[in-house]
Amino acid sequence: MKINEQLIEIQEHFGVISSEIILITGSIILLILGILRLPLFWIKVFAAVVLLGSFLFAQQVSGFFFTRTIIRDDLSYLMTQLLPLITLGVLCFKRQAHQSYEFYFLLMSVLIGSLFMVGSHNLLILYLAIELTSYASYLLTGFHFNEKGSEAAMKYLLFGGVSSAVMLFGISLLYGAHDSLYFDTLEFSLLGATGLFFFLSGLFFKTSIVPFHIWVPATYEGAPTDAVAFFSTVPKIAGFAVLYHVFKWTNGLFNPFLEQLILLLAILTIVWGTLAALRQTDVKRMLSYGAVAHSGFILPLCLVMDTYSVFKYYVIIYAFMNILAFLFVQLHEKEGENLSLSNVSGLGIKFPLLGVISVIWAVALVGLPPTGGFMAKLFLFSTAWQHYGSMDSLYWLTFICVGVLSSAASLYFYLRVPYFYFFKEDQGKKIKINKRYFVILTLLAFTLILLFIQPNILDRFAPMINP
Amino acid sequence: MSSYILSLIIWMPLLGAFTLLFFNERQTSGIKIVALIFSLIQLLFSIGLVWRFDPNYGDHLLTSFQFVEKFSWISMSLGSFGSFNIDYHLGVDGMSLWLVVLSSLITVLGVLASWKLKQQVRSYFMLYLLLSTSIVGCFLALDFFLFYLFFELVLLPMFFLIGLWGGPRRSYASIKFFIYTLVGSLLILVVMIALYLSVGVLDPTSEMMIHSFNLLHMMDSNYFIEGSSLAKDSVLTFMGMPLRAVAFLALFLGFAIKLPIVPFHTWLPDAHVEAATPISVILAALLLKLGGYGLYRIAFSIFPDAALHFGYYIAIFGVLAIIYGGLNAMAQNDLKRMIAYSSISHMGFVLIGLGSFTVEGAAGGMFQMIAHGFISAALFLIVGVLYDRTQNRKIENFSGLATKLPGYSFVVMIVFFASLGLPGLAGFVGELLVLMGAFNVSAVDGMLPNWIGIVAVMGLLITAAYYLWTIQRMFLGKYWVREHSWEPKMKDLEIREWLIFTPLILGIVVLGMYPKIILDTMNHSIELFIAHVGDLKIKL
Amino acid sequence: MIMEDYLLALILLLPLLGGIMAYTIPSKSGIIASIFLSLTTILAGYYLSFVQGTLWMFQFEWLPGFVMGFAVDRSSAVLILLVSLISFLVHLFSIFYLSEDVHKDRYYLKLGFFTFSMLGLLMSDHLILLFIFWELVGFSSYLLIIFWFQDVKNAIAGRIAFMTNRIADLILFMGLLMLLGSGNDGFISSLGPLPENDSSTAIGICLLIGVLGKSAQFPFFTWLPHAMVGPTPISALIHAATMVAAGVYLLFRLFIVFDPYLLDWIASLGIITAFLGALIAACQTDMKAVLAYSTISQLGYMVMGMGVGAYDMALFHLWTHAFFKAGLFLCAGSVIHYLSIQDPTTAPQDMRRMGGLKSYLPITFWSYLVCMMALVGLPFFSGFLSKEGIILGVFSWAMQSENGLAFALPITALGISFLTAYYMGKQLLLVFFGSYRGEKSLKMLQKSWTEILPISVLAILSLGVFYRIHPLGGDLNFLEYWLGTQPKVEGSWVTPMIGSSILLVLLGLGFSYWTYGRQGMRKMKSFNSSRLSIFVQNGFYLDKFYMGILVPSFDWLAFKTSKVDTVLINPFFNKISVSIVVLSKVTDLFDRLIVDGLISLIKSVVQILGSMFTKFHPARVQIHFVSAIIGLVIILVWLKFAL
Repeated sequence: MKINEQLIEIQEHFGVISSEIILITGSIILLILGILRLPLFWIKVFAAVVLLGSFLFAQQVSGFFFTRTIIRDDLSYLMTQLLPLITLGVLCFKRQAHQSYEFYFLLMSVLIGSLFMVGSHNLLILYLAIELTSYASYLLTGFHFNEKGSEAAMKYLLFGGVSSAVMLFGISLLYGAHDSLYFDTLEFSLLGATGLFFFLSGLFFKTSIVPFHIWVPATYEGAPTDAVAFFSTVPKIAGFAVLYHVFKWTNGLFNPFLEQLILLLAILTIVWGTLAALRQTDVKRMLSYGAVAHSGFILPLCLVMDTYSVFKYYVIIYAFMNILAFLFVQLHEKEGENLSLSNVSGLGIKFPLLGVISVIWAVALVGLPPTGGFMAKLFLFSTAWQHYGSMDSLYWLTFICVGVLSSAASLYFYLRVPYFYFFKEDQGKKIKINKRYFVILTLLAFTLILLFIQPNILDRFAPMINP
Repeated sequence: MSSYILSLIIWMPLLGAFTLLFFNERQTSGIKIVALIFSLIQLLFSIGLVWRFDPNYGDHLLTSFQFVEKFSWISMSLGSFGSFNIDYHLGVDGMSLWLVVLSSLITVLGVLASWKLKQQVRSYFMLYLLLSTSIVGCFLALDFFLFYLFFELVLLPMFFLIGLWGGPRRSYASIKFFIYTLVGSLLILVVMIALYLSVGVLDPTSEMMIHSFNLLHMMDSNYFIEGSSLAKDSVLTFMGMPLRAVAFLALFLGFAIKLPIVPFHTWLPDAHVEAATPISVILAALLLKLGGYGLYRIAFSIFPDAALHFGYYIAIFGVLAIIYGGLNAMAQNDLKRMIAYSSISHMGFVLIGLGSFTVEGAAGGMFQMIAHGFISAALFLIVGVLYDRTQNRKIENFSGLATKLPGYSFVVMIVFFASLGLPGLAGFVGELLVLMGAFNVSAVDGMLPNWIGIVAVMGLLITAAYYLWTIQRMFLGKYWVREHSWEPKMKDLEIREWLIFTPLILGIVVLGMYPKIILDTMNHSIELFIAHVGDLKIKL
Repeated sequence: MIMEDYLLALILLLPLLGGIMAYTIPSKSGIIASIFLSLTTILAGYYLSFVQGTLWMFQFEWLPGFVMGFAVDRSSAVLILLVSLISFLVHLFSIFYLSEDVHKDRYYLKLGFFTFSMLGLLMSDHLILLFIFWELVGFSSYLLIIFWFQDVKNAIAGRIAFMTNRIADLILFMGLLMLLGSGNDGFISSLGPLPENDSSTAIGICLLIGVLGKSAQFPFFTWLPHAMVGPTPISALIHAATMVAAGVYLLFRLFIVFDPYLLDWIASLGIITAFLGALIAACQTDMKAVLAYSTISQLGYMVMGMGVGAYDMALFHLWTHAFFKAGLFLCAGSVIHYLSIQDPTTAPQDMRRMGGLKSYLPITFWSYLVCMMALVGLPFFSGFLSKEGIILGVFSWAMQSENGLAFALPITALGISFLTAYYMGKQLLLVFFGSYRGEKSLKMLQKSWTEILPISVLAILSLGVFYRIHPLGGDLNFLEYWLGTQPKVEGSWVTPMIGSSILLVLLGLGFSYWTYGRQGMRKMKSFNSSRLSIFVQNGFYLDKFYMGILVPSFDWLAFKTSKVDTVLINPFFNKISVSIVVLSKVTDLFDRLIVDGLISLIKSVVQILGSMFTKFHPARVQIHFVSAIIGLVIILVWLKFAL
């Protein structure tokens, strides 16, 4: 293909990434608007309009674009629909007007990076997209502008740097093995497998799989809560989507050993996350370990094919639960101080509604009815059992058992928030709560329950082209 | 027979809970009246259900359900699974009928028993009514998913009801309760998923496998997909055991923790001791029955082959519970703890009845559950009467109460003797039937050896020992209470308390003298149940 | 026969109804209950008058597919009359005996309930139904024993009595269940001999234990003396005449089920009990205890009679014994009541401080004398007829037996006649003769008719003429009329046997007079001084053994079991949770150390390096360039050499 033709093709293909383009333009305008020192409300409104625009203009097409570097399929369509919406949820968090436009700009940069991650079909593009999300994330982490925030950002940066180096090394090995950077040309070879492993470790870092998770608690603890809510959802879900893509297209690379390895990692992640969360008193830290455990649950879903619906359902529910939980946490936070369990002691009498909501998100994160979290776990375990049944693989069975047991254990720590809320004595700490947020919280909680009662409403959301 | 009576019974309390949303926290009497009205309506509907129930309906377990309501609830396509179908599927048969009636009755009595509650009345009754909905829902669901939903839904309100309105160690007890039963229900969840994937029908038009959670399909071996993990011919094993056996054991354990069986029973005394009286009543009278009912309806009906294989061991667990629970009860000095252990002991008979695989045994187990529902409710209310007056339950702190509280002691006498199995009262019939089943089997095909029945009878002796001892220590002898400040409060039962006790005592006496009322409606279903299990007995 | 249904239902329910009525109208409770009982008695008598030969049956489905039934034949009809008659008399006597008690209403309710249960027991024709009433009888007896529950001693005694009964009852229950399980439909009237195998022996043993428990036979007899703490009319009704006879009645009903081999054992146990009971009775100082052990002894007679196949005579003895023993107890009640009013002390039943009551309680004395004569078995009194019948039965059984040891039974039975005569004579002398040994002087009391009537009726019914005109035998046989034709015991040994029996009785009476009557009452101080007699007086310490060893070891077991929960199971699950917590701490710590440690290491390294390098960094830009160029040159040189 000549350059000319390629250029023409690229020109034609711009329509496919319209939502990304809207986001890019919007975020640049946002940055410029920042000079005007608009009130926070209007910044949020503008950001919301941009996000909604990208949501609405998402294209449902299928195929390769931009000289086969960009791929469009059901999954990337789902992501272009879902990720802006999640970001929209993050906008609901409260924020000081001070430097908010930079914050939202960075937020959108991460979003753009995540969308490109999902859309890439080329290792290089993928790497660039990941770097885009990473840099913006490092900055977001330190947005408290205090020592703790900087430390968290520093940690994140260091680990991120190392992992991206490792990932780049893996990509170079893959290139060396196959002379190509496209996903679908990768084939099995020893070198390729080694490269793939290094490459995956970079992705595991993004998706916080044990042992690449160690940045998570520190970062979540130090970063602003809305940023945490964002990290724990958008880039992470995108990372899983990439994993899904990689496993899908590199099917030829697969041998049982790798599958077992990944299942082992998933099991390890669940166990580690659950155990570490058990004794945390800082709510955010606790939720961060819970998020690690959830990564372990999602990971096997990327491994097996034809689980698109389950994957979709799980990540959507997961996003809902996390946004709700972190929004709840932020509501109780005092300025510049992390929320510890004792801070919510005995609030249940003052705010019974909030207490009920805390029960709902806790129960959803554990995976109990009547919340969407249960349906997600149900689908997940069904998939796992299906694979166990068809392959008689002990790893799958172990995964199910560990998953079930960790659900029981996770009940203990997730339920500590409502437990402190209702069962402990009121410590007399004054916590001001903006009543406006009650509406949002209630809506989100209600949606979680609705997703249990009628999970098939999600069928309408980002439907598959050829189901 | 299309009617929505079952839905009405299930959702009526929930409707009450929603109604309570419109009440102010301070309108306590209004809240109580609303709760009472809605539970009474539920009771009326269940009585109506009995009225219209046809005791000889159907000629096979799978077709014997009446008042069936079936709607598609969730139907979503999930890739390789085919489509994911959950039905809203209700139905009642002779086994569940009386449990429903019992639940509605106990709910009403529980509302009356909580009449004096002062703190956070609205939340209490909302949770209480939610609990009632989920318990009745469990008994009526014919879809495994729906059942599981209700089964789990019991946990949360119970957790808060114990944890918020309980005694001094309530948080420990509530968490212990939650974790224990959650582990059990997660086991059930795994089996439920496995069953779901193993059961299905081929859709002729799209050639897709339609899986479902329909319990009736799961009970019917024709619906199992060939080669699926839990099919009859499945070759899958887990630690050297066939997967079907493992699945049965998981279900058994899941339900038995709730029943409870002996090594996993320690949540029960703690939960009982810490819970408030009405909650203890619900816990003992209804929650334990969920475990038993689950064994009947799910574990045994779906895996009759595995159940038959393990029948002997199940009966051994029953005997263990009887003896162990009895001895433990003997050693307690807290009245409530003693009664909690006696519950464990009495539930052991259900396991023996099931393990005997006879109509008598199964009917006896079922009857034992209902009788125990009445008796244990009355027992915990008895403790409540004392606790209301003195905030104390230690046996050694009271003596000669019969002199001062004759009415109360009269009630105690009847209920204690009913619990120790005095003929003519409800406790005897279930035990008689179970033992008849156990001894029958030993004579016919040697499934259960004689010693099971013999040891179980010894359990009755232990029961008699601790009840008589308690009567002697607390109610006979010279009147004496430990604290002088209790003296003015030691008054005999008031009208509200008589109102609670009267239906229970009537129930105990009527069930004991004329058990046919219940057994007539139940018998057909039990026969079908045993026939269903017995089908395999012949094949083996 | 619809009329019979109603009639029997009335007989059965009237006592209960009377009790309930008495409870609702406390002021007239005694009279009301007695009226109801008198109706029952009249109806029972009326029923008995026409039941002849016919068998009444009433069946109903209690559980689905599980039919139970009542049936009355002549032998049960006789006993129904007996129970209702004695119950009626006891009701009457109670009006007198409990005239001061405030809880009479409750008493009559319990009494009515007991009578109802006992009648039900006699009427039931199904094993399970029989067991139901059997248990109710035990329960109501418990209620009556603890009637004066304010004294905790009574409560404990009641519990012990009930528990002992319960043990035996549950074993009986097992036997009944096994009997049902072996393919029996459970109707007593259709019971047949069991096929001989292991289970038939097991069933027999279980049933036997049930009988032994209820009839207070060895080794279960310890409960009966405990039961004596109840009001004395209760002892008369329940623990002398009716409830304890239930075991014998059951034996009679289930006779066909037992192996012949087992029957020998039954006979032996019966004679052992009879002997031990008589021995213990001879050493008692308590007036009611003598009668209680005497009851045990007489029941042993009946059980032995059943065992040797003389069940007709055993049943006859049950009938006669009921009258004279109830009479004796009521007399004791009259004495106790009298003394507790005249001379209240802590031990109103102690015979050592009685004496000379003959002149104060003449009617009681004469009735007592008659009943006692019946008990010891003197001719012209009812006891003689039945007792001789049993002894003859035993003797003829021993003659037919191949085992020579079998003769031990009739010989022991004769010996017991002597003992019985001895202890009854002793009681008579101690209570009624001599002079009063208490502190206060006694006064004559106005006799109430409710006291006199029951006692004298029972005494009159203890006369032999009602049962057989001819004092020593003859044709007009009560038994033949009511119980059907009996096999005649004939042989040349009959007359010497009867003769020696009478002789032994007379000897016993004489011996008691020789010890207690002749030398006056001076021996009172040294009464029961020897260790042996104390040992015997305490019932061979069997009760102490049960209460001191068996029960505490059971308690110990219960205590240890409860420890399993608190020491084993709970800590086990706690350990699991603790270990999870520890593991979680470790995980958390690991995360913190690795992350924070690594980061702070890097941070400090960077800081140190940075501070080092800032020293090398001069301020001017030119120097930067120079140093850069020097560095480049060094690298180039190094490359040159390296390549």
